[in-house]
Amino acid sequence: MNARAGVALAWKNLFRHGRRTIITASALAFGLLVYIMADSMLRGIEVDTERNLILYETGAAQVLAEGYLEERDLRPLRYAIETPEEIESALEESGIKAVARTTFSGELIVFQDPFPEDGSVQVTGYGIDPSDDGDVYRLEETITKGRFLEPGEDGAVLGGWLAEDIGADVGYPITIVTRTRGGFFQTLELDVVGIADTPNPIINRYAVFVPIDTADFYLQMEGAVTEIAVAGKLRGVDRALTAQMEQELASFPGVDVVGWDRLAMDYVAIAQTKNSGSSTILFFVFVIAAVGVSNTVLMSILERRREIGMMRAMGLYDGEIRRLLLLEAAGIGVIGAGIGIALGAVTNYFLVTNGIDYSFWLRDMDAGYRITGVLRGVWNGDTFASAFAAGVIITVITAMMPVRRALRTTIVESLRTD
Amino acid sequence: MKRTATGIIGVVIFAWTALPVAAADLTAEEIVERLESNQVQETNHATATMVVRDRFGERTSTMESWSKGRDVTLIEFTSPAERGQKVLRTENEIYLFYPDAAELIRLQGAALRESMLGSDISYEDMTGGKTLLETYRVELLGEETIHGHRCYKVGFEARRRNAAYPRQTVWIDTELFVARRSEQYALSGRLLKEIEMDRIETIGGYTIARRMIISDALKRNSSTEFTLDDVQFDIQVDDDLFSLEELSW
Amino acid sequence: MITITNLVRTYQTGDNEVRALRNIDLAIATGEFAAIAGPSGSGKTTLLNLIGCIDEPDEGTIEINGSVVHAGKAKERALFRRENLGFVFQSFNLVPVLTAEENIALSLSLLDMPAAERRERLRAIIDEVGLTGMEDRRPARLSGGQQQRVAVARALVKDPKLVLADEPTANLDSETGAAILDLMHELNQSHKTTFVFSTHDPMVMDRADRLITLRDGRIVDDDLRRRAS
Repeated sequence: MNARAGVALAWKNLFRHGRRTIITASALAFGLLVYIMADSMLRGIEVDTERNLILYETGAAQVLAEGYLEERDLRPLRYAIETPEEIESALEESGIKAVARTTFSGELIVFQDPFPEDGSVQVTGYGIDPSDDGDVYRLEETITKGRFLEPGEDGAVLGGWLAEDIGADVGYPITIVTRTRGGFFQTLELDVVGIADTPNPIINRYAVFVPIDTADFYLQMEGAVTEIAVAGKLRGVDRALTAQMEQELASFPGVDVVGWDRLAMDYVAIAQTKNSGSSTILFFVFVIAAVGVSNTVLMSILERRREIGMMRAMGLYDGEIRRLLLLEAAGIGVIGAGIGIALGAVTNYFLVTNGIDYSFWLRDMDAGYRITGVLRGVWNGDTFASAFAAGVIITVITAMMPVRRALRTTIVESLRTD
Repeated sequence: MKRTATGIIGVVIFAWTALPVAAADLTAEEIVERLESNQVQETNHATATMVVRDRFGERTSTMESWSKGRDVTLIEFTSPAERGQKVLRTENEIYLFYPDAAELIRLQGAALRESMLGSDISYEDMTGGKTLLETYRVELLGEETIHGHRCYKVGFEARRRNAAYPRQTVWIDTELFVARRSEQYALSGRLLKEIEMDRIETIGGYTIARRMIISDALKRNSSTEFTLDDVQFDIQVDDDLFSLEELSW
Repeated sequence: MITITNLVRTYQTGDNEVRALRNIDLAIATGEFAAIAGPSGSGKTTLLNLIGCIDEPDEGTIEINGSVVHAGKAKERALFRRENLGFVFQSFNLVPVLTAEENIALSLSLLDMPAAERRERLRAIIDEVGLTGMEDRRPARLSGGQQQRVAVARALVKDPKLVLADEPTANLDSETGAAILDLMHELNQSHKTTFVFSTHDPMVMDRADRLITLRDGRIVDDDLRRRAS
């Protein structure tokens, strides 16, 4: 049987029971729609998170003293970069924007009056250089109350959620208890000069920014800093950048270059979970399709028992019958996948332009993602292509079993007029 | 605060002998030497109660401890919530044992700064090492009366940067050479902790403070009260008790 | 054309063993218009299926123009049927989604031939079976008789050597049935195609040139009334 006749016959057979075909195709379409939407949202989260990590937390990459990375969670001051100016110059000369920061951990203590009540909370302190921090980070743009820091002052900018949690306002005094580089207990008495609402929840919840020379004085850093951060791509890890940095800094002993991914292991871990999450969704799409398609094909074959028997008697080979039936299944797949990605495209348009406002839920989430408000979707051609392909492939595969069973019946059995 | 804290906790956990002394004119160094030398015992076995108070409420735990000299101490918690947890201090290290997870942890570096059971005592406070005079320069600031007892007021200033408290003030009883009160300061000069020792008693030839109250000067309503319920000195204590194998048992 | 020797076919239905055909010997010449008659259960459909190479004997041989088809593999048998046999069934078995013409063309599409020849043959056979003007209708819009004409056209369009019809008139009224049978007889005369059909319809039995009667799986009568011309 020639191909044209075969395709024509398969196509016509699809609409024999048009409603059934549409229902099966719709189930498939729905599954694929869910997959496309979920993938788009998850990608959107990724895009947002990486952007927020890079612009507010880690920069595209950092230079750290050897030994710091392993104990980074404890923010040890003893692994510090002694000659930050030289390293910054070396990087700037090769076209890489770099800024120094000193990060420390401490306990923020507030007292009733002017605060609503006594309180203490663990915070991360960031000593930043207000004059050039903007080369790498976007903090200054997110100040919503008060003002940005000025060099040398005993002032602090608080993360928005932190300020809200403790009831802080511009002008309030705070005390931070921490340890100097050598190990002495130390207190920083600061005034809140500004409050920043960033898109990064980690910063909003835990960050206190102080001028780096103030941090240097109180922590007895003597000019050393804990990290030098650089600017780079906002999506993905820029290996070219880290390679260039390693080359520029080859002559500086005792420092490591690390991309942002190694500084945000909690995010990297959950991003991998996302990938398996997407696959899980696709698996369930498979199950939906398998049930629907398999059933439809089975019914179709049972109804056409005599017709199929007749074709075999007429001299069609089993292989030709198989191809015909699988072609029909593929047809359902094409229709379903076509509807699915069409709907997916429409829905995704809304997800990308308007997004979904999650700000209420995200307030208390601490799961590794850096998102605060509106989640937007992302256009990704691969997702649509793989959704379409998966739809067709899944339907063909699930049809194989009923088809095989049909061909195992003898021709005589098929033709019985019972 | 290494040695000093040990010295102060040592007052309670590691008892000391009161030496009769003539009321001659003593230098700050001599006073501190007396204070420190009073912490030598062969062995020590005690049971104690710790009450931690903060703005969330009050938490009580009990423990049993053994020590030999000033180098090794084993603490085992006996209260229900933390039953079976152990802390072993050897000359240079601190180990924690959690029976529920059968986990043996060695504390190092910044991890030593964590507090024991949420109290105002950190593991760092328990580590051994140099003597007070090696870590601090001392200065006699005068005499004051604390709760009706005459005390020397001695100022401590860290010699190097690796002590926890750059400055401390300790009030030492002029007759018994036991500390009755101390204050710890941050580098900025801000008062961080106050410790009061009382219920000073003589047991079996040793004079000890049965109770120590540590107050956080910054967080109001935050304090730890440490009371020795029972203590025996110079009894037979097996060396094996202070091994890692014993710890995970 | 067909030589059957010592044919045996037995079925298992549940616990029972049914001997559908017992030691059949039969020879059918080219161009014959033969009917196999008998009550239900006599084995006539089984015999037809075996001649049609859609079933395999347990014992014995069937030779069609010298080929022992049942000895081959499934695909070889399918090829043989494709090239040499035509089938007409009592329940028409047309593809409902195809028009009359498309149904007939289906059997032609299995063979290699130029498109022009294909079209020519289709036109001719539609004319011969009397379906001109109705070739674009789907089976749902055709009467029983018209559907069977389509089936006959489908069987004959590829000019097979042998057409097998299993109770072709069973689903038709007597008038239509007679018409169909006459049609098949005409085609048998004009194309010289051998026709073998099974039936228990007396009208059909009357029109057959040769009447082979089966009972309980054996041939009990073989009446040649008219020779094939």
